[in-house]
Amino acid sequence: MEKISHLDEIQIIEAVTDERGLDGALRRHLFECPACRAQKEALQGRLARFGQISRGQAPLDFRKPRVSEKSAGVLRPAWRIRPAFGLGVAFASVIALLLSPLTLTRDRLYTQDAVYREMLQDEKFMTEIEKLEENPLSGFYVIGDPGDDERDIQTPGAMNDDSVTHDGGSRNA
Amino acid sequence: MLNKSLAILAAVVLLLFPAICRAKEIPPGRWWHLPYFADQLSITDKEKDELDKLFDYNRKRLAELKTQMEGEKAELLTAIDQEHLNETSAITKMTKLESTRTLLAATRFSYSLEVRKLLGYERYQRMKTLYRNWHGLQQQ
Repeated sequence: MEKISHLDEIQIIEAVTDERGLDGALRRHLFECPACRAQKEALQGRLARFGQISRGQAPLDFRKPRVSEKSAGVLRPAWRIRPAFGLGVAFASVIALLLSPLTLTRDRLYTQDAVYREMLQDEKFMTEIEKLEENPLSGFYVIGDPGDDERDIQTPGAMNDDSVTHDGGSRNA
Repeated sequence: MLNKSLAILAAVVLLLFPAICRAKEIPPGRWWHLPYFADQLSITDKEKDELDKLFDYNRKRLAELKTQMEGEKAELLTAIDQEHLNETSAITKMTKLESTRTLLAATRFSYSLEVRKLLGYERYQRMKTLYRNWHGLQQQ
């Protein structure tokens, strides 16, 4: 088996930048030889230190933007950040689905009780409408208690003498 | 112009009066959601939706007109109660009130008309009979 000498400077650099590019025998030597490995690690260390220095010295505009861990969390699903929030959203979604027109049937919307109640209210409302329609000035034409619509509407000819003031002229003039 | 408008209003009221008198032939509320009416009149879901829309619109409009009439009535009574009566103003207010009243009657009538159109002759007649019987059932 051919004896391989230590790696030269170029081969060490190649081992740092792209070790796979080295010949198989050289890689085997690098693995077995502590001296060559030490040379490679020393070069790697120098390069790393140089990188650190240059990052520190670079103007702010040229530095890589750093994304903090906190802000990076925004991209994570919300339920991982705040489980309670996730649970709330899930619950709201279920409620929204249950109440949506897709699932809410007409029969559930209009239960018999609700329909009966509305019928009673509507009957009362329509009675008021009818009264208003029949005599919008009820109270104005009624003698006595203006709020009492049950009384007969009296014409001036039918009025009692006591209910009319005979001042010989118009009251409003 | 005013006389012409009043004449038209009066004609409309007279024309609508028999129909207005018949308005109580229709049950109040959303009766089409009661199985008693819906089943016997074979009211479809689509018809129920149409009746719902019609009812909502009509009652909303009636409520608006009722409020409007109450306001106009108050204005008229205030005008009449003035010490120095302005007759023209009072008559104008009365005309306004009468006009709103006609509109109210027409709105009420239009509901009956739409229900009649939607149900057709036979179902409308059947609905009236059912309503009369329903009154009896309620009293039992």
